[in-house]
Amino acid sequence: MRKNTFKRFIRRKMAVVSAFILLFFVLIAILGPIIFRKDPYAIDLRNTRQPISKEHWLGTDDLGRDTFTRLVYGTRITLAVSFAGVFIGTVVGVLLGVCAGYYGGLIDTVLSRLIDIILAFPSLLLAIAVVAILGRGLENTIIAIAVSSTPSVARMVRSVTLSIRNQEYIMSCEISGVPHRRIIATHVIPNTMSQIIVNTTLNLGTGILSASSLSFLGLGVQPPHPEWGAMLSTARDTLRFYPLASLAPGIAVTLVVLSFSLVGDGLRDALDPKLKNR
Amino acid sequence: MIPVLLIVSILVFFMTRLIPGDPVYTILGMDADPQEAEAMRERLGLNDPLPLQYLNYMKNLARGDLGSSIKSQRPVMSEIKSRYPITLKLSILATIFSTTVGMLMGIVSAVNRSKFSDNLLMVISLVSVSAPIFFVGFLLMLLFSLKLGWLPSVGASSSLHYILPSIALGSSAVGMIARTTRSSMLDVLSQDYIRTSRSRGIKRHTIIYSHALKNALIPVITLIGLRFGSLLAGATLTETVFSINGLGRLLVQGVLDRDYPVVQGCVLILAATFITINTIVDVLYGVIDPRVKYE
Amino acid sequence: MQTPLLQVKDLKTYFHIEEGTVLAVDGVSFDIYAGENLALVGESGSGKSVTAMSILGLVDPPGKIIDGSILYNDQDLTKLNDRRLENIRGKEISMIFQEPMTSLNPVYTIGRQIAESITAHESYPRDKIRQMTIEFLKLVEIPQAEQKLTQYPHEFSGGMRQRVMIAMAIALQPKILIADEPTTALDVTIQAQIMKLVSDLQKQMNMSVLLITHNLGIVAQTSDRVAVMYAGQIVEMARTQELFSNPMHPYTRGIAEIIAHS
Repeated sequence: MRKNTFKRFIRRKMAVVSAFILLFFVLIAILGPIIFRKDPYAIDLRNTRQPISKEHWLGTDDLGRDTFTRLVYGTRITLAVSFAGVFIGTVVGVLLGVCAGYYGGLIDTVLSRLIDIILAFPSLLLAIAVVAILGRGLENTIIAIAVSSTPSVARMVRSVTLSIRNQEYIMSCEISGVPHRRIIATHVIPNTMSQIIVNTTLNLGTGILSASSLSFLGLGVQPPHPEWGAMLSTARDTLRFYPLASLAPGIAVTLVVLSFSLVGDGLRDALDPKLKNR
Repeated sequence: MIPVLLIVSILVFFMTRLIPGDPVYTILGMDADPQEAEAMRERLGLNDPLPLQYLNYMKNLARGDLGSSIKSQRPVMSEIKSRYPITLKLSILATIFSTTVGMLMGIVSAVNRSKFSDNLLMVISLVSVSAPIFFVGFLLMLLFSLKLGWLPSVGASSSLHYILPSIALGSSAVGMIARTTRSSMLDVLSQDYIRTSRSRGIKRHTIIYSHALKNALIPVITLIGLRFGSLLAGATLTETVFSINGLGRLLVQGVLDRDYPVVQGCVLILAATFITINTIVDVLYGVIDPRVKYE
Repeated sequence: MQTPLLQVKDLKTYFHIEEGTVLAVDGVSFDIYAGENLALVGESGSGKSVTAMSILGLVDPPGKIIDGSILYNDQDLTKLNDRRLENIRGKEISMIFQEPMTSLNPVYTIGRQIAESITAHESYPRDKIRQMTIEFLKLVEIPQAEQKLTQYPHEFSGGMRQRVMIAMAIALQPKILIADEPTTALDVTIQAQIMKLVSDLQKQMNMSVLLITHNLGIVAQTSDRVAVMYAGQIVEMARTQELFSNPMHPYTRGIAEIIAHS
């Protein structure tokens, strides 16, 4: 009956709600430090492990730092790391995918093998390997996320490029002497756009999971930076005293990743009809 | 399987050669005597040309010698040997947990398509995939260990100790398996042969759990095989949360200490395990789907 | 006049989909008597398949039996729940379908699938079941029956698979066999063989057959009575010979003419 439309509507509703949640977090990331003026790095050894109070909305951690403020600042760090990593990874992935799909031959074979190998690796292990080689820290975390994001984008772009490559209008462009770069920019890329958008949205979610996992292990963003995963690394000690405050960063990660997934799914549904008509 | 292992060994070998910084100074300390450093370098074979180093590496590998930890000076192999079974046990238990729960969720969802239970289970799946494993670990610890006191939360000294970590480790796989099972079952349930079975008067639960499920298994098993690698990786997180002395924790410690023989050894063992599991999965296909054997 | 085995009275099966409601079966009534071959003909979309599926309660959402009754053995099949219907399906009333290629479970041997048709309703010892299975394969004229037991559907041709389907359907000697376009997906030569097999079995077992088809040639050769469906309703019903020699409804006349000319 109206079940299908209803479902599509609900899905879209969930996607819309999730989009608002994400917007909320982005705003916090940008404006949070301006609105909430406490110092997330300020150590106060007389006030460690305080419970929730008017003074400290989520209490203080084991070094007396205000948990709520750290959570807010952590939004900026966590989101920024994921965005940067995924952005770099996507750009590189697009370039690689287009090269592989467009030029074919040896380049394609080599690149495809490489992509397959990286894709076969569990993403966390890959990230740990990158950090093992390059060292810990924020910048290398970004690189680790970039490396994890590249293969899926590259593979997808490659297959779309391959399917477009041999179509007539491309060949006629080539015959009339249009430079490859122009063809790629004006024809190939726009056709891959919608899939890239969906893929990137989902990668942003997994990027946050990777970043927070690395930081939790001590391999990612280093203390005293309040990255959400890093904040959870001290949770075991504080868990029995005030569970909510200890676990708040985990709730934040789950919420943001969930929202990215829902928005990604919603985008896929919304953009799908366009894909079909191609 | 062998060629893949070879490629992995090459990658791992080169991976550690890429690490910047001189390992010798890491061992001896920054202000070591240059002559001593040079002597050690000779001993460790670091001055040999790269191909020779690789050959020696492979020779040692064949003998089961993975080098010695820079930090503890003990052979890497023995460190791994004591810890590997723990991590493997954890991963297998997590697989069993996530497969049983996930498949059940997927089947119930598919059979009750579009009803409330379907939507609820799919939302739960989505949340399970989004929640970080270490967060789930802490939640479980909070509830079952601290508040209820039913289960231990530290170490891996008894069977009970494995329960919470395994559940945490399998938590994100549950969602993925549920979703894959659901779509695979929906696909199968709409097939003609299911209609034939129904027209024979065969009981509904036989149709679902026997006829349909067997056909729906292939994509699910593929997923389980692929996810096993992620489980091994996720063990690093779970072992850290629950203070378990497994391979994951060894790996992390190795990376923190820049102890590259340890890192190398761990990655190699983990990769080999993962590849073996996938080979087993390939064999399983033939058992389940007779058409595969036919080809 | 004997009492009919099955009585369909004013059956209405509708499909509620996004674009509206499809009145697939809109007030259909007919009877099936013991031992007769009743054909239900019409073009695609006339509702004949849905009628057949409705009898066994195999119509899935968004389809639903809205109204009417299907009387068998003093029971109204439309009012029975799945569990009670399961007792009737395969045992009292059986069905064979159009696509033999996809109608058999690919991961089980045909021996097992036939055996399951039996064990779903009766519990016999294993060797008896094995014997029965071999007998049925022989009955439907499949050569080397014993070896075929352990083979899988993909190792059989379309015609053979349809025979297996028939074997499964008649294993418990049902009173009524519903055959939904049993030969449409098969070669012309095989079609005749299959129809003859069905005829022979029908006589052997004194079984009624409800034949769903759009192929009037087959109808002319095998059916005792014909009901013509159009847009969800029966527009004409008569004994086969009468129908062809004296079609009343304009639609029937149209198709009868085509047959006459071919």
